[in-house]
Amino acid sequence: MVMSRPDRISLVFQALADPTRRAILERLASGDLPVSDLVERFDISQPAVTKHLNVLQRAGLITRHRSGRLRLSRVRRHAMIPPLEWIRRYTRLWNDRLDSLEALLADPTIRKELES
Amino acid sequence: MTSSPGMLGERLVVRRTVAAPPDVVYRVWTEPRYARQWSWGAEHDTIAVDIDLRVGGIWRQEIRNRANGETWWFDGEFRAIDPGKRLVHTFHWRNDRGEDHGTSLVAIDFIDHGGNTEVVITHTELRDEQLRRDTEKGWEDVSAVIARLAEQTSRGQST
Repeated sequence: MVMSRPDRISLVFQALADPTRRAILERLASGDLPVSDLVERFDISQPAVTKHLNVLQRAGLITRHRSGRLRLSRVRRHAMIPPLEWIRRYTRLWNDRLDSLEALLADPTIRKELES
Repeated sequence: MTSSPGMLGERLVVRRTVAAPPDVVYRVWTEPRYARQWSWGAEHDTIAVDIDLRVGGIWRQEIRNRANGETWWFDGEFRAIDPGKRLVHTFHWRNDRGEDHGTSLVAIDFIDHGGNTEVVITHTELRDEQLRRDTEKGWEDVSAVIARLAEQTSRGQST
């Protein structure tokens, strides 16, 4: 199923809404790690860590791959781009509109009409 | 006059102080005969503007890009109205090329600063309203994480 953009953004924010998942993501930002390292680091059970990793993977924030006997998690930094795009798109839309509003308010004929 | 964007997760805030009092800015914002003159910038012709200014009322705008003929429809429903001070409405936009950005929520505050008006636009992704209420406290952290990881991305550490 192709996911629409807003749904993808929703999943990313949902995944990031949990403090443990944010901490896991930041930990992974410094390098790929196996589940065992995260279990030790955050002092939570292996199933709990796996659950968090599944949420992060579903949101497209991490990928998992094998290295020898280890299964490592890796941050997909490009996944951060959709929320940033959302923010950029609307910032531009509103700034364009406000430019246009200011131009109209600066029109002396319009101002005279509005203030009469 | 001044403008600064800010962000809290997927909630976007744009501020601008314009040189006119709030009642004037509010009229230009809500009366179709003025709204059609500034709504979507110089690149577009306004084809239609309807504003049913009451809670539950629908606003609708249709514009066409002068260069490529692309038509865009914007519409939404008013959720709250405080004349001269505040508007809250839903915001849905799509075009004739199959692009649809879904529905979001916009609040506009008109704040008086001695005859000038600070316009504060808060734009939020509507589908996440409940999620945001549940996790309100975490949003600043989320935007910080996004900013940090995006910074690493821009430094060229790709996946």
